[in-house]
Amino acid sequence: MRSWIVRVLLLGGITIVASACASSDEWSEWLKHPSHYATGDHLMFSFRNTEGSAPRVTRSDIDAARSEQWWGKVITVSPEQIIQQ
Amino acid sequence: MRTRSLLVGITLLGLVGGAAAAPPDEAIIPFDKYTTEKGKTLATMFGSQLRQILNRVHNCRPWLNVPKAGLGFTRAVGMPGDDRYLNIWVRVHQTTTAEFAGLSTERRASAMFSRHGVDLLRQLAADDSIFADPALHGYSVILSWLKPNGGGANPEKEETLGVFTDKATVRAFLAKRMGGKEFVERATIVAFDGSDRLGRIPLEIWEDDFARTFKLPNYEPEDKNVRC
Repeated sequence: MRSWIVRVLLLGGITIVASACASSDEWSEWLKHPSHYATGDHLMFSFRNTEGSAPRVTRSDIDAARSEQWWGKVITVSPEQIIQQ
Repeated sequence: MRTRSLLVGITLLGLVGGAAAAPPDEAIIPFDKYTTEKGKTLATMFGSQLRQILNRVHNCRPWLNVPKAGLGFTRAVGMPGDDRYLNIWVRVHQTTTAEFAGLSTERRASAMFSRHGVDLLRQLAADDSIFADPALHGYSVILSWLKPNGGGANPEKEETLGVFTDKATVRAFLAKRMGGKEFVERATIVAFDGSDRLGRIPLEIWEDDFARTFKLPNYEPEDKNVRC
């Protein structure tokens, strides 16, 4: 019983400490991605390319990395800021 | 010249073993998205040429990616009237070296345009029938690449350069009847740091035959009919 209370207190403490470090937007973004990997393609890419070996990257990997935001959001210009159709 | 030698140090992502996917149709602006008759007419008349340009870039320049609606007859924001440019927008995929990261924004943009922009202008301006159409005002190239030193605590950003030039100037420059300095003076140039507009930046163009001479190891275009 006592160890159960200690565990709850510990978990609560970690949550409070962690929440103090992240904004609500960051929490919201984090909650949208419960997995370490953005997609299944991202998972397979990481399995295929382990640290210390030369990466094998295909054209479709590059396209998928961008469209599926494997490495997070990239701040860029929107087309409407440069060209009009 | 020094900058050029620094640029040689930029290594491309290893695309070995990866077959090229088919060119994405969505890279070409759909006909119904044009907002003026001039744009629609050009897109209708030269639809097959647009697909050829896209196919060539996709198969022969695997380090470039044309995003959605990145190819078509667009006009530049902020310019009066309806001057139409045959425009291509590409994202350059490369591994950033310390040398490239150490360059100023202006030098990075110059290096990118010298390497990829001039090559793309050559591809856009190659078709005589598009060039001869009086509805076409010029050619434009927009290049985006990952800004060095992003990630970690800093959000990843892209740097973007847009160069808009009338068609006679482009042809004269490509035929070497006009130097890079005059070409730049005549061009409308816009640059962005992420989504922040930097405005016109000083650009320098130098010879760089990378796009025409570099062969990606073990890479074969998926479309065997394309001459690279």
